[in-house]
Amino acid sequence: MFIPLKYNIRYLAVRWRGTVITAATFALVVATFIIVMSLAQGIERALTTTANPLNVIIMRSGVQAEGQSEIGMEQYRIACRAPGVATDENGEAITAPEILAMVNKPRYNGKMTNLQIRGVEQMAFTLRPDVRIVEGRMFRPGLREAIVSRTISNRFQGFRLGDTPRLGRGHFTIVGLFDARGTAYDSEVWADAREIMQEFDRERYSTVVVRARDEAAVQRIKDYVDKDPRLKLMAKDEAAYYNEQTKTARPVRAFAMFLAFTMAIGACFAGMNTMYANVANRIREIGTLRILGFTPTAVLASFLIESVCLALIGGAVGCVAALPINGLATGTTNFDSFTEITFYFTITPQLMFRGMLFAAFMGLFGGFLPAWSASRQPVLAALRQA
Amino acid sequence: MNLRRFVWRNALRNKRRTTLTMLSIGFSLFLLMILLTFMGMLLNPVIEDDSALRLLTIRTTSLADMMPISYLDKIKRVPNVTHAAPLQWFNGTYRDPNYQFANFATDPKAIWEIYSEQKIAPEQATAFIADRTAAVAGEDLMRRYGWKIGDRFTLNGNIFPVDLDLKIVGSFTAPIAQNMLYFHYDYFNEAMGGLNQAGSYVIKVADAASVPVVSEAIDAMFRNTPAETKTQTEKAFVLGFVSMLGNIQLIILSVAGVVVFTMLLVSVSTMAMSVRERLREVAILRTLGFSRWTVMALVIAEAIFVALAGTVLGIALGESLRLLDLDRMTQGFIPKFDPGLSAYLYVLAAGIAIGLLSGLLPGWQATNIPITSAMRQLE
Repeated sequence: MFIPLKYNIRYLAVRWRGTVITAATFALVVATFIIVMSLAQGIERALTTTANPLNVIIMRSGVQAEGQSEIGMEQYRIACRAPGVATDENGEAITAPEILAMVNKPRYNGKMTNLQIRGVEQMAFTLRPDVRIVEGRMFRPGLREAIVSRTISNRFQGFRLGDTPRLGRGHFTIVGLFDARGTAYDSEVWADAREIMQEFDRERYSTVVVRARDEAAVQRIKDYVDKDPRLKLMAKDEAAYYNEQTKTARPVRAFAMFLAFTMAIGACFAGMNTMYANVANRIREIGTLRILGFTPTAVLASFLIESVCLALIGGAVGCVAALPINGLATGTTNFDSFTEITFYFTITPQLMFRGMLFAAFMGLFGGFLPAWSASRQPVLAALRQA
Repeated sequence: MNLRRFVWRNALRNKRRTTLTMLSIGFSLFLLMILLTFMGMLLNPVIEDDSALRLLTIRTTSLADMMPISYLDKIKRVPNVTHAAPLQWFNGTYRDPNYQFANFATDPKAIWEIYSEQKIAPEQATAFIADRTAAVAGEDLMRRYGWKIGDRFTLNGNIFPVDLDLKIVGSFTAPIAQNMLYFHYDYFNEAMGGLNQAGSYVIKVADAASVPVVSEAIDAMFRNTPAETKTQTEKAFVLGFVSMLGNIQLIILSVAGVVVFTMLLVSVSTMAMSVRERLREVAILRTLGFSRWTVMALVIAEAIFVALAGTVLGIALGESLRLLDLDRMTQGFIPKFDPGLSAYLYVLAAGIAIGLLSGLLPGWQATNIPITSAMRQLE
């Protein structure tokens, strides 16, 4: 037979001062955990949603990021002959050489950081349907024009529509803003491949991206590229490529875990204090409950539940307190490419659930010893207490 | 019984509660100490005396772009430049591709003049110059890989499409990063098939006054060339790197603020509990003629006592981190735990502030209840 939950809830309400302070402690821990984790999730999401399962990136063997790769013209021609490449409605093979460069530019907060420039051909837009012009127009080759993601335009100085930032040796006019729907391209500036090669003194492409006809073709393209010894190239599907880059988020995740864990230890001790006080204040009641026939286990369960409830109230407040940050844009450096990656604090229902679970555990750990001591009270001595 | 003992007895009246509060504060301050140390490490890179005289020249475009090696001789001819060397970050890895350590192609002779705080035995320095494929490693790196002098290994290139066969001829000590590796720029250049370019040049100038003059002279020399340069002090360069990480300072400071605030909540509630239990004693003290302020001071002293005990615990936990191999645990990200004096002071200040504030409110409450009603309480 269990002691009704109402008993605990009422007590928490009566002792509201202690409840509020203790719940606030748990709330702060949970909110911190959620906010820092949402940073890690934002980075991961920006990178993983970029992947198109049928896009294959061909790069020089052994490199970690597109920007480090180099592909000569002859290698490019051989790579384009890979079997299983899809064609567009005009019957043209969907392959695009790309050239990656970076420039060091100031953000609006005055801090300098590296911005990724992608020199592309027309086919790049067929390969990345997520990239859509939302303001202005597409760049025209030959006129030193560039388009930039709206997020970058908002975060970096001198990248508004009509601005003429210096990229490489020359100046480009920003003629359009695009939205890449939260993918990694939202952190980039795009311009004509040939112009970028000229401005950055490049004679080689960085990568070739090809669209496979179907999933089986992805493997055939990889085999073709990996097994041709002339090429010294490797092929990776976009999913695998961007998955490797999510390791940028690993330190943030580790930091969140460490923070949460250490803060939780502190919060558990504080929770224990409150629960011990809650037990001490009700010694007589506990005695009465036992006389009424509730078993020590029921008393233990009741106090444990009370502690978990207290923690869950805190957890819920923490979740709500963290919510306003969801969707805020921020940036860090992707240490594979050494360029800025813009991302959004991402709070998912799963993350909130994990925050609540975390709170419940804190309640359980913090409440166990006090609940145990409550259940072990000798009945008669308890009743005799003033 | 003097008042000091009175405070002591009161603090220990409920040993469990005092211990729990102390543990709670201790763990939070431990966290605070880590945060402050980490932030200090990022924002105030430890600077040796010499580094004020060091400049670093990179391309204006970005760190990844390179400059012709011919720049080196031109830089050396700038007045007040005493030494200059190419410093090419190779980003090579050995065995474990996830363990990143700094490895640079450089001038085996000039490097010790420029980084005079990095010490190497004279015969090893000579051996380093003598052999084209020679490399010298920081002591931590030697230990990590179990290298002995004479060992050969292959450093795998990640950015550069070459692997370098190197031979360890010596080890050096450095005040900060002990996990570096140097090898010959000429050997790297040859392996790259005559690249004749370098990503950065490190320069030592004669005196502090010539720092701005020299950096401007170098940048002016290459203005309007295909590879324009940006020359800055080592500290400015490192801080530029840190700012690329994003607004770390804001994140860490907010977390630190939350931690301190949480602790404050915890200790206020503990002190409030403990004072509420003794309202009658407070009333008796006041009846005996102790002033409001004495009683208040007693409560605050008790709160500070508990908070300080927590502070000592927090610092002790922090010190215990020195025993761990952080370099391995964080894969080279945090080479070692070394809080500066300011971190200790901030933690101590936080501890005292928490004690003070958490004693204030309950103390005020206790002394402002009319004595008669306090006497009646809790019977």
